[in-house]
Amino acid sequence: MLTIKKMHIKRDSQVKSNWESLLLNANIQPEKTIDYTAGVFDNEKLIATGSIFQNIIKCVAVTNEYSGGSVFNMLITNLMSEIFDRDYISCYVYTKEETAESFTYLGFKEIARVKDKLVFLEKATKGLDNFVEELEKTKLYGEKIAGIVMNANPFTNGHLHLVEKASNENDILHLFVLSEDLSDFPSKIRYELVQKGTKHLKNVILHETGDYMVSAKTFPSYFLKENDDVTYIHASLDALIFKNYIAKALNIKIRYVGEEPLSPATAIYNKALNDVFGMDLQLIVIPRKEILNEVISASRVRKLFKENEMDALKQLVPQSTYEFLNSSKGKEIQKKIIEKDV
Amino acid sequence: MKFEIKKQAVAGTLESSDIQIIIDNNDNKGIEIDLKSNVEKQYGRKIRQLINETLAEMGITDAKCVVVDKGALDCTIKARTIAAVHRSSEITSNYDWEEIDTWNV
Amino acid sequence: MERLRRTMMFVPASNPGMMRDANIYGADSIMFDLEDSISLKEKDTSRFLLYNAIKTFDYGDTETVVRINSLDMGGKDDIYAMVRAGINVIRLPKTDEANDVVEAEAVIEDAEKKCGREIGSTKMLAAIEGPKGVLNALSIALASKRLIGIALGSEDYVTAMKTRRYADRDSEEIFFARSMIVHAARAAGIAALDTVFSNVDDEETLRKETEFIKQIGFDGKSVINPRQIPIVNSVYTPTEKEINQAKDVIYAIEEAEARGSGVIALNGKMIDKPIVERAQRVLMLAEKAGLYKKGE
Repeated sequence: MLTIKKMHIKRDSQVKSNWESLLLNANIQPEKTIDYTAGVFDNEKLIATGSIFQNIIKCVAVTNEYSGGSVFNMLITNLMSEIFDRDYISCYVYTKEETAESFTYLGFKEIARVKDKLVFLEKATKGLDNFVEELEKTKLYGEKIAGIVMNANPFTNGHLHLVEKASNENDILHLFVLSEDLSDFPSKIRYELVQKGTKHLKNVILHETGDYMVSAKTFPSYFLKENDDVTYIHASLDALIFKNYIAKALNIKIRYVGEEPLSPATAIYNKALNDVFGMDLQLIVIPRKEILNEVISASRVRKLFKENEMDALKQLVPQSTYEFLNSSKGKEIQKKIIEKDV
Repeated sequence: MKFEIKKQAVAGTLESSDIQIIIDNNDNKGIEIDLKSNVEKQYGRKIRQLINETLAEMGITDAKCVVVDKGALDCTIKARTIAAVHRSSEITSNYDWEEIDTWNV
Repeated sequence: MERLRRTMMFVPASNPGMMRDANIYGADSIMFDLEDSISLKEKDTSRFLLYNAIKTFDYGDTETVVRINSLDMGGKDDIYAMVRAGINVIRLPKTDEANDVVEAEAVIEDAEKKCGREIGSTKMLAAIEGPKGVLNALSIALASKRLIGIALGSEDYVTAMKTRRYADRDSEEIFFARSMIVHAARAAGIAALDTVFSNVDDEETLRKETEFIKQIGFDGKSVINPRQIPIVNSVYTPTEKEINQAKDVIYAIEEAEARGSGVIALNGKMIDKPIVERAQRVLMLAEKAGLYKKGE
């Protein structure tokens, strides 16, 4: 008899190793960023599993003899219901091309595909169509329209430099702040700090990225092969979504990114953007602003913030960000950052 | 009883002979049904019609429905629609069975 | 006349496919479950689904039973829905005392009034699932005219008794409970139904267990899988000898009636009421098994 139940992989090492071996047999890497895991059992034997992280379905595997529909459907029903119970209104899956079809059979809609590597799908009453529709409402007409995507964790003078340059060089600048809530600074605060820090730039329009762009922390890579370049594939997906939906909706022709000479990941990311954009979109890489021979980066700001070096920090961030860091809300975040690494 | 699509709600499963209905509001854009079914060609119209009728009987004029059918019978389609609307209307007890009875199942 | 209840098949009310097909496996009763097999968050959807299923599907002569939730956990909504849908029997879970039956009956009566069904037409079945209920079995069995039977639910019972099921050791741990229930049922003139046997793959033990509960007087058994039905039914199928004896009894009655005589005798012995009833039951069982046809 088939039963489905929660697997306590974080509390029970035996359950965890059972789960891991099923995944590894299916050539799937177990992931750590997981909120909930379900297992389908035939009597006591684990025959299928799937997990969720926030509103993303991941690490789905069904043993061969049970593949072909009913077990998979039972599993996805369970995972979707867990996602909706957590008050999310849509759910997403990143999966390899071979399994994408099983999801489209269940009404998932394909959003983007990195050939031979991955497909990104969505299930929502108000999904991508709705997101694009909302974006189109903010569409403005101009000769030169550019876009920037940033996490701004938190908003620094480095970010400001990039934004100001793009703002000067274009008629309209659409600025996207990552909506995902995994950074030290919550998305609402990151958005507010960007808003305050760019208030003086009249041609800048702010947006959230919704569920359509995730950070490397969230991006699931469990189905990729060991020698696959996860960063490149992740960036290709972001680039596709930016090009096919966001740029199209707003008539963006240029995307600005910051250069990060010391970060190979950023270099790979920027290369992927360039490859995907091709002739359709122009990519402009701006060298990072330096202070005291060191580039201003959000990670440098967070480090100084953690060490409470407020004076050193002051010259790295706009006044509005500095004020926030000194506020009581800022102090709460500082406490969390300090506690996190203890 | 007054029904109102207050929030997104789901009823039903993706398992064989069942139907999963996700319902959400659709401000003044009428009833929209996005249907995925393995019997779409033969029964797609019938399924939509059943959902439309049931929503009409419940007084729902605007709703966005994302529906996956796995070969559900009429009574199942109606039951899942009724359940989704109750959930969306946040009605969780003291159901009006007399009224439900009139939705000619 | 008495109804046969050899097999009562559990069907979770969350599964439309099983609900549609429930009638094809040959169970005497179908017990749709709104209680333990339904997760808390699917109680509402399952109730709507079952309501529509009962109103739509034709289950023929098969008795339809619903296991409801306790009255304070959604059981009232279950009753209002199921009475209106036209279910034959409401099965109460975890009955500990006569008053549990009385309280549920009041809701059933109200539901019947509200939807214009004949008062008393909805029958009841009380499941006894704890030591208190076992000790109160007789008063429970006598608590309402609507009761058609009492049933043992052993999962909760063995847990409350600080033990578990030992099917491999003749289930001695539930012998007392079985005895209490079968006695109470007989004393009240209603059916006694045995608990489930949950290992679907172990047909041999199921057969052995069914032979045993038949031996001590149970009318039948709850089953959790269609595969268990033919096994339980076959145990309840009378032997050729039993059928022949029963036929002789019935012939003797018919002859006595034809003579206009009140005294029925067979082979020189007086036949009393229990013997007549047993003969009728044997022939019903034989008829169900296809071994006898009325009027033959």
